[in-house]
Amino acid sequence: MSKKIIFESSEGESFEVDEAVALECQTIKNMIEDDCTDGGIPLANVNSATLTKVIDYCKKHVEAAAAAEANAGDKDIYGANKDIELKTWDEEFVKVDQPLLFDLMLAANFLIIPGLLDLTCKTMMRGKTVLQIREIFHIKKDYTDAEEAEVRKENAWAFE
Amino acid sequence: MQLTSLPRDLLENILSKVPDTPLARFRTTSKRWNIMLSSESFVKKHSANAPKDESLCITLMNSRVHLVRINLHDPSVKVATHPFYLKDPLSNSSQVDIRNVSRCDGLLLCSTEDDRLVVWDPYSGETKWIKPRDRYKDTDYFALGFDNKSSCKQYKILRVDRNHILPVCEVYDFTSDSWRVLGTATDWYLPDYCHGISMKGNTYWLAMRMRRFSVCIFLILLLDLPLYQWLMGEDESSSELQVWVTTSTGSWNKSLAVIGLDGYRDMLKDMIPRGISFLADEQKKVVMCLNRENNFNILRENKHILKEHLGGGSKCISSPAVLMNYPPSLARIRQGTFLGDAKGKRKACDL
Repeated sequence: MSKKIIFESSEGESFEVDEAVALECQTIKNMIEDDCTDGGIPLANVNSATLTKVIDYCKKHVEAAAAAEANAGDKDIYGANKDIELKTWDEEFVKVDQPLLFDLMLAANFLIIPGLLDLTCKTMMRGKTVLQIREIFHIKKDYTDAEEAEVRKENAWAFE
Repeated sequence: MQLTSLPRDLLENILSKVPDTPLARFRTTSKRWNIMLSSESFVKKHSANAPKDESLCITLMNSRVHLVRINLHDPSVKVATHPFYLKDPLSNSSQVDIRNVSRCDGLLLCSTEDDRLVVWDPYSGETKWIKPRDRYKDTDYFALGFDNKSSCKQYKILRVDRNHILPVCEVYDFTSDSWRVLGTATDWYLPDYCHGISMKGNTYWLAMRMRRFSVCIFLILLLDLPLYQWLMGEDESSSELQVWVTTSTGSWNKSLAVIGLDGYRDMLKDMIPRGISFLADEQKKVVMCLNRENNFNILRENKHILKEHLGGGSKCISSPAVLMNYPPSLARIRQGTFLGDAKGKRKACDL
């Protein structure tokens, strides 16, 4: 049986995962290499809901990588289909509300999961208006009205 | 975690995955973001991460540069209503009238109707106005390019003064902020409405030889693609008009796809002397062309698949037709080279 790693969410809940799944996180990989994972890894800034999703993501990608390796010999169209299947899975995976998406992105950044970081960043920004961006990132408008009118005029070509 | 305390590094990572056009919208969210989006660290990340939109082109219409989106699947063409905004430094509120535009990477080099010259990144709005040695003329041709030999791009501007029987060339160096005369052409000239094509730092024009009165050069059109340079040639011994392709290294490859244009030979021939601009898609066997009256055509393997007037009024008398690929993500590469300073001061190349 493969080695298990235990994560502890910010609520103190424990999550047991295969080492291979944990290795998807660069941060954890470094800890495993340094042999400091005994007694579980506390993740004080990742809550249970987010951690569940992160583990789902890592599991899926480990499985997909294993399947791709098993099929490496036959270079038929199925390989391409697998890629599409994983992409579709990814797209479904990020169909979550904005706060969870944001937490997933922060977790991916903290745990260093490049694929997940990329996926969440892209999803986060897709099709957002200026007002939505201000809301999501809690941006205070620091332009005066005249300045805003000017910068909008200069970038009018992008508002189509 | 408080959203406002998002680390700058992460914020830059997120925004670097946003394509150029929505990113330009985000400049209007706040001053802080606007400054960050122009910063060197961000620009580097963005040029590495942002998705590249190959269907974008630019055109010159009513003395302004507009983005154009061409769809080849379901043939259509759409010109952006609002042009890129080139602010006139001599006036607080007006835009500059552009006579001609060429590009190198994502930078645009524009000559204006009042005979000024500017290097411009339309995405960030940064400009550098280039002073003439004496004065520019409306017959001048310009090209922005760079020296590929050194490790960092040394941008230069070539000016071809056509107001002589044989053109006089001079080159502008950004480091020394000065023009240097290269010399006079020996036996060639550049005709009116000639559209230069920039590739890997070089610009290619159609040149005519002076030996005979009749035009004796066969290469008559230059086409623009990010990876492939197309050249349409008319071989006097052949009855058809052909499209020849070169590889990205610049060597001619006659064996590559030939697009038959027999039926359009006369039409194209008629359009060429009046300045026509071409684009081509090798895989889809498509040629697109725009003439000075802004008539846009798409031809696929001998058939017209789209014919449309792009709008806009008559051009400035010396403006050519302009239709070129404009993969905008490339626009950011040169930040910090010479456009970094809004006051137009030079900066050392630090890429």
